[in-house]
Amino acid sequence: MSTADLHVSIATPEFLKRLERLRLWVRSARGLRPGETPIPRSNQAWGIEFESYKDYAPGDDFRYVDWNAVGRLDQLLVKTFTAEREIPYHIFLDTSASMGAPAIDRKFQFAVDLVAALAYIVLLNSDTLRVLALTAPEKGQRPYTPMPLARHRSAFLRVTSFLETLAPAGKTYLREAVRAYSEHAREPGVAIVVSDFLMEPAQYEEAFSLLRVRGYEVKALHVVGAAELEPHKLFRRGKLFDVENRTERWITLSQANLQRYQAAQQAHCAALKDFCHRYRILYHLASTASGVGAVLTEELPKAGMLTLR
Amino acid sequence: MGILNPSALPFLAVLGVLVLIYLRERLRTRIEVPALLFWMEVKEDRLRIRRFLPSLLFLLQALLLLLLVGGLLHPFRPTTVTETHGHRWILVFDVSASMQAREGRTQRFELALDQAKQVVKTLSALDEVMLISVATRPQLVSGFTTDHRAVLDLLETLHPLDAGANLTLGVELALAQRDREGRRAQVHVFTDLPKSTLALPEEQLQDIAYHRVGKNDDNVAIAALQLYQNPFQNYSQAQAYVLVRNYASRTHSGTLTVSLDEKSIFRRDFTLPSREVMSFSVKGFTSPGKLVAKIEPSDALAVDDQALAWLAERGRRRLVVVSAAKGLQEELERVSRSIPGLEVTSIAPSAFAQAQLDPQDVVLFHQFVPAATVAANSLYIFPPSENPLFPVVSEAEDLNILDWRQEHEILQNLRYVEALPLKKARILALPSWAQVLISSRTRNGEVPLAFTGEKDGHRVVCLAFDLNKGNLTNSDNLTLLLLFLNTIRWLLPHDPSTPMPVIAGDTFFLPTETAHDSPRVRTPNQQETPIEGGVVEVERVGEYRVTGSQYQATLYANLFNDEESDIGRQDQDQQDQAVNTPATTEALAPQDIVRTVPEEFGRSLYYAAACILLLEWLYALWRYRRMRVS
Repeated sequence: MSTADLHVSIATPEFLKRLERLRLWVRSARGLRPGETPIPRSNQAWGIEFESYKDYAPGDDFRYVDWNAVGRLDQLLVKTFTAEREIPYHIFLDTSASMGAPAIDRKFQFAVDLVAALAYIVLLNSDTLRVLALTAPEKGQRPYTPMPLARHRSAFLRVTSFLETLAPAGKTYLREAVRAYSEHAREPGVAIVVSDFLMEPAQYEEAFSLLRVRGYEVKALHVVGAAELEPHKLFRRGKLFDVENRTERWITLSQANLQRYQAAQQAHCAALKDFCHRYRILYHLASTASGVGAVLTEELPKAGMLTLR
Repeated sequence: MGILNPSALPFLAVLGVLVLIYLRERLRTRIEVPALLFWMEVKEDRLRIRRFLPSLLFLLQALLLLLLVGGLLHPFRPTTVTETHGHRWILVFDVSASMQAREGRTQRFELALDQAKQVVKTLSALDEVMLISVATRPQLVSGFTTDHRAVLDLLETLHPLDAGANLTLGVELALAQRDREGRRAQVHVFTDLPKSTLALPEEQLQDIAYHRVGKNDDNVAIAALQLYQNPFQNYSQAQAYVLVRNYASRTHSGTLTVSLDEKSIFRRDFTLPSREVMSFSVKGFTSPGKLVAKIEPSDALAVDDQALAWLAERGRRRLVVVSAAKGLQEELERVSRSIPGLEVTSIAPSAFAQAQLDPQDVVLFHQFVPAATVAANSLYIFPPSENPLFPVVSEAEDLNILDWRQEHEILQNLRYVEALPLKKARILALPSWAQVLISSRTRNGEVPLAFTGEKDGHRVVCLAFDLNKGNLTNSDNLTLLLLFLNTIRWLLPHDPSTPMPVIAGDTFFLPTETAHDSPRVRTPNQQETPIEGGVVEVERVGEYRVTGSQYQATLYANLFNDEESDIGRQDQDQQDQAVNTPATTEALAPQDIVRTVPEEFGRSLYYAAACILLLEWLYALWRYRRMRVS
């Protein structure tokens, strides 16, 4: 798939309006800067949403002393409010060649649409967003291409423009990219990894562990193509070509062989899911057959990744 | 079922090409997958994938090609059809000289023509007729046709020739055509000859309807005009013999007149009993010229009442002897003294290069062969061991003559050829242009002792044995002297101004070098026509003149044919009489013929191919769209 073929198909007023009802669920991640995301079980001396009272301490702002309570209880009580912080989001988009194959799955387009939708939801909440395209590292370069930090919904166009410049190519460098980025990132937050995870388990395990160690709240969005799940609709026999490793293998897709393939695939997915579950990483498998709309409005809310505003 | 065009079978190879294209496409095409991670659990299978598995598209395309090739093969299935045909008739019409014989106030030819027309008129409209005319050779005038009007017109164009009849050949041709296409034809023969003259088996003659015309036998003919004048004799020494035969069954009287250049020089009255012959000798000619023999009064057949010959004036002929042997030269000069008109000129081999030769000369080379070809007829005697013309294989002594060609002009009327004195001979390799005249045999095979041929347009004779001293003049060796003189006579070039005698009905072939000469011929009835193919068909008795820009010749055509002159020949036995009764011809009803004919259905295969092409196109479109949708 070339960049010319890529177009963020969800950037229509109707679809974006549907997204305005959603917000990303965050368990613990928060930024340092005040924002619009209320942080449960955390309070501050000022704010909008009343949280609790506390005894007055010297230095507290008199404006927040609840005088009614003083009158009833004869005790100086100061109101505290639910803390609202800005959440830094880091979306890692896998742009390896495997995301572009098989072409009929349009897996990369699907992933880009998902990322754009998530970015819109993030920006709508005035949180900070950085999209990172995991690309093959050139000499002396980082194994990812970052988009400049976006903070407001007005930056959505920048996000779509950035996404539309991407094309699937090269191998997957999730581990290397995460390591490199986390070393430079100033503020951890929510890390959303959008990938087909067609890599050795050690790679994603290491990457996720690294993110967690650095204080990120990790969410994994596993993109799977329809033809990947049902390869017999793609071919019966032929020469398979691995677009990343550029190796070939002659396969006859008998029933037994199909079962072996699907068993291996399910085992791979199960291992990923199990790992995420173990480390409290929110995981969801999104099939291209479902469509972006269904995934965003039905599957992700059900999985707990998105909530209604 | 069968095919009419097996040459299209190789086109079936396109099926193999189609399979190869599919196999290549399969091996070339690869399916892109995101990773082989899960496929590593599946055993790789190269062999089964390379095996050809036909798809529906392939089957459609193969069927399409099969139908197209099938159409090219022109397949057919046998179908039985019933056709209504008329009967077939083959008319063999004799146009030989005897058909000119008078029968009362008309001609035999006219009688036969009337009978033939009558036969044609009685035929039903669907009947087919073939017409063959026969003189010296049969000629197909018209193939089978239902256009009876055209056949009647063609009959009108026929006319009797002054030639003999080879009726057997004409009937054989008709019989060969009789059973063509599985339909038996009825053969009708119109002639004045008895049926017994046909040299055919009795069972073949049974089915032939024979229409014989003519009863008149009143004919006296000049059966021969023989002029004896050898190449060395002048006209004064010539002698002519005229043979007159009475073919009638009654005594016949008449007058024979011989004229030389239209001047009567001989006149005799004769009375000939039935079937008798009389010979007249004419000699003492005083000048050369055209000799015409004529008998009067005229009888039923006029064409054999006159004969032509040419009395030639002989100039001196030169024999150039190229030999180093003085004895032979002297002997030849002695021989030449006894032959008027022959002059011997002796030249030493060393002086031959400067000798002036005339094309009318005959050159004798004795133990010598010149380096270049000689532009004259030549006789080579005992060529040397090393010579450019006749490779010498070996030498032999005391050979016996075992074989010779008696029919050759040189050996005609020559007896005791085996008695020729052969002391010593050279065994020569026979040139490709030569034919053996006299031969012997050694343990290595046949050995030519004398051979003749034509090289570069000139006659050549080679004698492989030597002439010893006194051979020619010794009275014991008369055969050798005659052989020598015959050889010289054969080698003497023909004088182009001398008319050539031919028999009417023969074909005269012009020399090949006259092909670009635009020759024309003037026939005895003074019609002048261009000659095509270098061939003159001599159809009339009399004088033919051939003229070209370079070539000129005169032909004297005579009939001299006993069978044609004997116009009243009777059948040999009673059985012939029975078969010779004229056949009755009645109109026969058309017949239904059930035939098995091949019905070709290649066109249907083309239509089916068009349908398959449409089907294949629709299927390919559907598959493409499905791929796009998915």
